This record gives sequence, structure tokens and C-alpha cells, in this order.
Amino acid sequence: MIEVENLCRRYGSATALDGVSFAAQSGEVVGLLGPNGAGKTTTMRILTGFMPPTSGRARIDGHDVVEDSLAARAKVGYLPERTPLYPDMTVEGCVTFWAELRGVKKPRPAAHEALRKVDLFGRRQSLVRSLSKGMRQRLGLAQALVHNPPVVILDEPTIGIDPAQVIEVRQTVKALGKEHTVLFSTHILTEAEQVCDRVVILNLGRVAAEGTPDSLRKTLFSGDRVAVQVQGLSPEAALKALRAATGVAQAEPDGVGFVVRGKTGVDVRPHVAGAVQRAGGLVIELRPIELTLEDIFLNLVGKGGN
Amino acid sequence: MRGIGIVFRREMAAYFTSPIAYLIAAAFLLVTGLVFNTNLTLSVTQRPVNPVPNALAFFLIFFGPVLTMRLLAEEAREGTLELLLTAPINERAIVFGKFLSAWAYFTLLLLLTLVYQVILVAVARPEVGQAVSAYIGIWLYGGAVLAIGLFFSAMTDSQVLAAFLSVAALTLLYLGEQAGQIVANLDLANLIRTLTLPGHYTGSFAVGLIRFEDFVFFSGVIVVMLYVALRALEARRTGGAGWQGRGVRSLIGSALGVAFLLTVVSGVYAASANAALTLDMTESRQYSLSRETLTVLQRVKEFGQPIRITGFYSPNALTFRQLDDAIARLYEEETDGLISREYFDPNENRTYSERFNLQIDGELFVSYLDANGEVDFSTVRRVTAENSQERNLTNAILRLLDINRFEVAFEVGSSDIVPDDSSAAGYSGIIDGLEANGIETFGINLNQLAIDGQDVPNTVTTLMLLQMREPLSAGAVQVLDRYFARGGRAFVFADADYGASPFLSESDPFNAYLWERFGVRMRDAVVIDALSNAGTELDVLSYAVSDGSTITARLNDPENPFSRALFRVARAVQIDPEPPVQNGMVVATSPESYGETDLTLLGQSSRYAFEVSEDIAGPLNLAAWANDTRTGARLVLVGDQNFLSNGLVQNPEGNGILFTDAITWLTGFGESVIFAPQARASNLPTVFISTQDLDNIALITTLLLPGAVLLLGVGIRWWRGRR
Repeated sequence: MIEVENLCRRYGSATALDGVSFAAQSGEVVGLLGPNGAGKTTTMRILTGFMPPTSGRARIDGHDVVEDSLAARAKVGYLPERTPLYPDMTVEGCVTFWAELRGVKKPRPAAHEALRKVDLFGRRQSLVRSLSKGMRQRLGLAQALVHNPPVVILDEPTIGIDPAQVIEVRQTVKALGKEHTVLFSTHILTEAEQVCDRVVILNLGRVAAEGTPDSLRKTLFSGDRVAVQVQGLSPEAALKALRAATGVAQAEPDGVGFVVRGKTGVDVRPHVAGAVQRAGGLVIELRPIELTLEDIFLNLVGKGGN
Repeated sequence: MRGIGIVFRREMAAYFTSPIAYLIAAAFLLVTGLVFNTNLTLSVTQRPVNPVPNALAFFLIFFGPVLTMRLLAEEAREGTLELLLTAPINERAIVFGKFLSAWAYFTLLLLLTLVYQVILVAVARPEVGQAVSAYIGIWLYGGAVLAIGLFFSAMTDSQVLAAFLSVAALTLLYLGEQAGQIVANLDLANLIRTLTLPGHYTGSFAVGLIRFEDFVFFSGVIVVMLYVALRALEARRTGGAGWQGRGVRSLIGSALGVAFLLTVVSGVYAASANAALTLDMTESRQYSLSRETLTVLQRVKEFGQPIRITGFYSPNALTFRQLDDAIARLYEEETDGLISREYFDPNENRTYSERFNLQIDGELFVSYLDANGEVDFSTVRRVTAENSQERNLTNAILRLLDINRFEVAFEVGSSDIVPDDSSAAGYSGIIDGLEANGIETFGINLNQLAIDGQDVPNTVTTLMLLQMREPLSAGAVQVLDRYFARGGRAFVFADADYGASPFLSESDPFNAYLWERFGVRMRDAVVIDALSNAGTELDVLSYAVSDGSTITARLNDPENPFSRALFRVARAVQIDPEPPVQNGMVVATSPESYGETDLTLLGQSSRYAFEVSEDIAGPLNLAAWANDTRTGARLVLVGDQNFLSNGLVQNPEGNGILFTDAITWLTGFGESVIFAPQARASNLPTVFISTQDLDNIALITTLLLPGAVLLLGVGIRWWRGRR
């Protein structure tokens, strides 16, 4: 559905994309993961036909985004990063307008349908300017979906909205995957893990890694990290017990507790619990520590350096 | 193109739902309403023109950018442009849809101002055709302004910057019309003027002349500006691609595209300017050749001698040049180039202009060309600026055609007049006037002709007996009798003379001859008028004039107090009610006048009193005409000559009118000068309206109308705000 081959894009002397290639199959939710400035937005803008690549090719459902731009654009629903909307239009008018522009035969029913999907049907007569940030985000989604495109491209759809709404949007995106090919960008790893079938990690305009969230985790991370708090043992004894546990690569004190890193591919939590018990202590906290994106990129950049 | 309609509809909806747009509309109506009312107040003394479209030519500098600044700049700033540019529609659809919406909104504003035209029709008699032309013109003008504004809106994300740049560009394009004031070179100034917007409005659409080339110009501006706006919009896709690859290619492509468009547009413009396709919208067909002119041009063609129209226009007078040339080129076309035209800058061709005796900037001359194709300076005729341009030009050509056809002879044997010396005090004004009209003047001595047994030359069309100091000899009267017998015409002036044997006293045999021959004669009585005078009862103003006479058609115009003739110490003319030939009164005094016969008392002490037994009761005749249709002889007899003196002939106007129209009738010049004397209507007040009505109109147009629009905007804002 989405094919990207060796995409390059320069702004003057700055290189935003430097040979990016990836693909997304029909019905797949693909996450574009990367820090700010990695080239996520540029990739999406090329795919949506907003700007041409400096070199390389990109196809949407077989249509080249440069040679056959109008056909390619007709297949895409796009929600840009800033969720641009016309503040002085009504919710319904806004979605109907985009439906018309994208050639929907019956724009108004299509708009209603899309508004129902994002749960804004009740507010269809309101002015866009009166909507909350989360509602606007959903309205942005509605305009991207109104023409029922095979490909939906969402640029950081969860940025700047409150946590409850973030969860809503994530669920919506995940649901979209049933009917559409979804490409969405984020810089939050867990979001990508929760929503995506596959993740493409961009860094400095290149694909740093690509795969399912699980496989990526396995290739990239040298092991899970676990936070442990122990009762009934002196810190020295606890540390000794932890270090001796099966599968533990490293254990260090951290505040009132300890941070334990397991060997690659091993879930160390049962071993840690067992070891503490055997030493006569009691585990009062055993919590996996989420890896931050910074960690991953440090890792990736480190790899690249090697 | 798919999408134009959709973009257009959204923009229109945005205009109608945005309070700003209503604010703009209200301001628009307020400004145009003020202009209209100011002009209406002035129109009580001037003919109303179309102030609103003309003022808009200026005000569009500000209204245009306000309407266009948000079109693309706002989309760019809000980010919605990214969505528009990724929608499956062409950029052209975006640019055209936005442009058309702005133009449609402007059209609506323009239609609102038609209220003023309706009011004008109700209170006056405006030139409807000219108004239609002005509206078409300003509509196209507005289209060009909006296209320029749209281009600047496409250039930037900032509405303020877009508006500022547009205002700056439009100001330049507006002031360029006045390029003549800073650019010394005429051709350059003219070129600059051709490139400005008002250069294609003020001299054509605004005055009721629709020229195809102006359509081409405005359409050309729109096409070129929309193209550039389109390329600017496309350049937003390439973003900062700058000076490499695609960026450079697109830049070169744009430049080539603009060059191509400019070539096409200027080509079509030049061709259309050359073809001179025009539509005359004025009521008086001011920019079309009248039947009368065509008759004259037929004479030109039959005569076959090339004629040159020479005009002198400084760069300051380019608008006048355009207006005059709109007429002059019709003459050239009609005569297939036999009449040609040439324009000079008087500042750069000073010596040449001096040969024409150029007096003011913007003057035209007609002349024959000699065998070398050069202006024959002995035939140069000045085009007077009295009437419409066509009338002036045709009259000048007629005077050229009539060179030496009309000869007016002044009797010099018994008079003090020196016709050859135009500097002579007293009557040089009328003599110069005759000469300027192509009428030859010279003196003849009737007494000498009688002695030599000769006749008045056949070439003489009118004989003037003016400033006569003594009666004609019996022989001279016989010469005159023979002259009249073969259809001679004479303009005879008598005056109060207290000497021993004055000219045309009741005892003068010539006076008796006139009575016998034409049924008119002079009385030995000075007219005293208590009712119709200019201060003293001896300064008599024409009270009544004959009906249906070409001599008096323009006299005593009730609209123009200066159109009465003034006679100073005049004698009464007697008219025979049973005349031998047709005759009649020209000018008569009021019922409260009489003829004082005691000339001795009057001459010595300037005292007079009505005595029933001696004096002649009024009204009296001051001038009379006679027409012997059998021989063709004509006579005009006037009981005064002072009215022709340099001091009085132009003040009041009536004196000059009486002389001109009398000489026109006598010479038959009137039958050849096809524009017969006409009532002067063009400068008359045509708005007849009470102050109360003026106030009401002002209230409606400057308060109620903009206020209603403003309220509508507030209402819509409130209604939409509730949701």
C-alpha cells in the first residue's frame, strides 16, 4: 500500500532524509518512530504529495506521489501535526468541505459518518473554534477519514492532548488498522508498541531500525531493567543476593531500592524474587522499568558508531 | 477544473460568515457614500458624474488588499494550506477559486453602490451609459487589483505583510498614471502610464468610452498575476529547495512562463490598441463621429489634400492626449489616413510649437500638408476648446476647408476702422476672431468704388458698415444697391451721434434707402430702459429676442444671465410691419422703455425725460434683420456699435454671441459650419433637490446603509457564537 524507496530530501544544504526505504502492507498500522528532526514529518509530507522528494520514489497504492500525484493524493487521508482547521466553520461544514474536495459523491452523509466514528456527531453544528483540543484532534481525524481512504497518515496525533484523550486517540488509530493502512508518527515508544503492527525508527534522516515492536525490542535492547525493593535484608546482603540470581547481568543500588538488569532475552523477575526469598528477605516491589526513547537512540547511535 | 467551485463556495461562505467581511462592507459603503454625497451637494451647481467608481479607482488601493490578504497567507499560517495542497485537486483550482471568490465579493460590494445610481436617477438626469461604462471599468480594475493582492497573499504567511506589499504595489501602479510629472521623456511617461491601472480607466471607461485594449490590459494583469501566484503557491511545496535542482528548474520555469505570458498579453494588447475597437457609451455619442462630421470628412476626401492634426501635450497632459486621440484617430480611420495625427511634447519641441503659436498645454491644430508632407504653416487652424472634442475638431477642419471662402469687407472710406491692423484699438477683437475662424477680412472704400465706377468685389460675402463717421455718398449708396441686387449681405451699425450729419440719421438718404429696400431704418432716438438695464438706463440689456431665429437662438438663455446683450447709448430701429422683403426684430427693449428724441439735451447734459408728445413709447427695437429671398440679400441693422468694442464684445457673453451668430447668418457660414449654434447645456446644474432631501439622502447612504450592514455582521456573529 505504501512503498518508499531510497527517499532523499534536502532543504538547501541541510539533509532531512537520506535514503529512507520502507513499505506498509494493506491493513497494517505502521509507526514512524524517531526524535524531533529525524525526518518523520518530511517523509509524511512527501507521501501525502505536499512536497516532492529531492530523489527517490514513493508510491501510494501503486501511484507515484510525484508522477501521478492527484491519484496518489486521492488515496490518502492526512492529519498534519498541527491539526489545521478552519476555526470559523462549523464542524459539519469543515468535514463536508474536505469530503467535497476529495471527491466524495455524497459529502454530507459521508461527513456525518466520519463524525460518528470520532464521536463528534452531536457537536456537528458547533463552530470549530469552540472545540477543545482533544475534540479538534478527533475532528482532524474525521477529515482525514471522511473519504474512506485506503491509506491514513497521521503526524503525531497524540501530541499536546490530555492523557485520557491520548488513550482514546490510540484506540481509534488501532481500530483504523482494520480497514485502512495507517502510517502514524510518534516519539513515544510505548505508543508505538501499543498501536503498531510494525515500527520504523528514523534517526537523522535514515532508517535506524525496522520491525515489529517485539522483534525490535529483542534486537535493540540488551535486557529488561527491573526496579526492586527488599525488606528484611541489609542493603549489602540484598545486593549480594540479587547479583547472584540467575539471569542477572547487573545490579546496582538506586535510592531505597535496586535496579537490576537482566541478560538479553531473559525475564529476570521470577529469579530475583526467588533469590531474595532464599536469602530470607521479602520483595515489596518488583517493577519493570520502561526504556526511554533516549535510551534506545543512545543504543542505536552507539550501534551505528560501531 | 474540479475543485474551483468547492474552493469558491467555501471562500464565499467565509466572507458571509466572517464579521470582518461585514466590517469591510460597511467601511466600503461609508467611504463610497461620503464620496457620493459630497458630489451630490456639488452637483447642485455642476453636472453629476459618476463619483463612486472614479473614487474607487483610488480607494481600491486599500480595499483590494483587505479583501485578498487572508486568502492564502492565512491558510499558510494556519497550516490548512498543507491540507489543501495534499487534497486531490490542482493548485490552479485553489488560486482560481480564491480569486473568483474575492472578485465575486467585490462585485457584490459594487452592486450595493448601485443604490447611489438609483438615487441619482431619481433626483437628476445622469448619463446612464457613462455610468455603465464606469462600472464595467471599475469592475475589471477591481479584478486586476484583487489578482495583485492574491499574488502577495501567496508570497507570505503574514496577512499584514501581504496587505502592506499589496498596498505598496498598488500605490505605485496608481501614481504611475502621474508619471508625466516626474518623467521628462514623453514616450517613457506614456509607457509608464500604459502600465498603470488608472491609465486604462480614467481616460476611457470613466468617460464613457469602452476600449477593447483596456479589457485586454486588465485581463492580462489578472492572468499574469494569477500565474505568478500559482507559481508562488507551487514554490511552497518545494520549500527551501533553493538554488539547486528542482528549485532552480522551477524558478527558470516560472520566469519563462511569465515571459511567455507577458509576450502574449502585450502582443494581444498592441494588436487591440491598433485595431482601436471601441464602444461609445456616452449619451451624446461623444466618441463616435456624428453624421455632420462624416459629411465634412466626405468633403475632405473629395478635396484630397492631406490634413495633419498636430497636438502638443507635455507628459503632464497624457490623459488629455488619450481623450483627444480617442477622437482624432476616428478621423484618421474615416479618411483612410488622409487626415493624419502627430503629437509633440511642447517642452522638447519648443521652436516647433512656437510656429503654431502654442498657448496652452494640450492644444490641437489642423493644417494642410504641403508637397513634402510637412505642415503648411499658412493654413494652420487652432482647434478651439469650446464644445465636445469632435465638434471642436470638425469646426477646425471646416475652417481649414473654408480658407478664403469667406471674406468680410469693412467699409473704410467713411469709417475710422482699420481692418488690416489687428492691433487697432476698438474692434481688433472681432477682427481677430473672424481671422481665427478662417474668415478673410479687408477694407474697401465704397466712395472710391463709386468714383471709379466699380462694384464691391464678388468675393465679399459680408460687408461691415461699422464705426461710420459720416453718411455715405449718393454714389456709394448706388454701389451698395447693386451689391444688394446681386445678393450682397451687410451688417450695418448705427449709433447715437450728436454731430451735424450723423450716419443713418433720419435725414440720411441711405436710411431712406434701407426703409424702401428692406423695411428697416434708424430713428433719431436714444433708447432709455428703466427695467432692463445694466446699472444706468442708457446701458440697455436685451429684454426680448426674436423667436426661431438663428441669430438669437443663444441669446437671453434663461439659465445664463450673461447671455443677454448689452447696448450702450443705442438708437432705436424701426421695422416696417408691411415690409417689401422678409424682416423682423432681433432684439427689443422692455415695455418700460422709450426713445428719447431730444438728442441735444442728452448729448450736452446727459439728461433725459419722457415727453409723451415728442418721445417714442417702448418697447423699441435695438436690432433688426431683413432677408430678400428673391436676390439673397441679407441685412442686419443694429442701433449700437459699442457692443462690439474690445471692452464689451466678450463681457457679457451675449454681445459676442449676437455678433457671431449674426455674422454666421449673414455669411452663410452657418450653413457650412454644420454645428448650428446650440444651447449650452453641458455645464448646467442638473440636480434639482431640496436641502431637506439632500440631508435625507446623506442620512440613508452614510449612516443607515453602512449601519445596516454592520448590524447584520454583528447579528451573524452573535447567532454563530451561540453554537
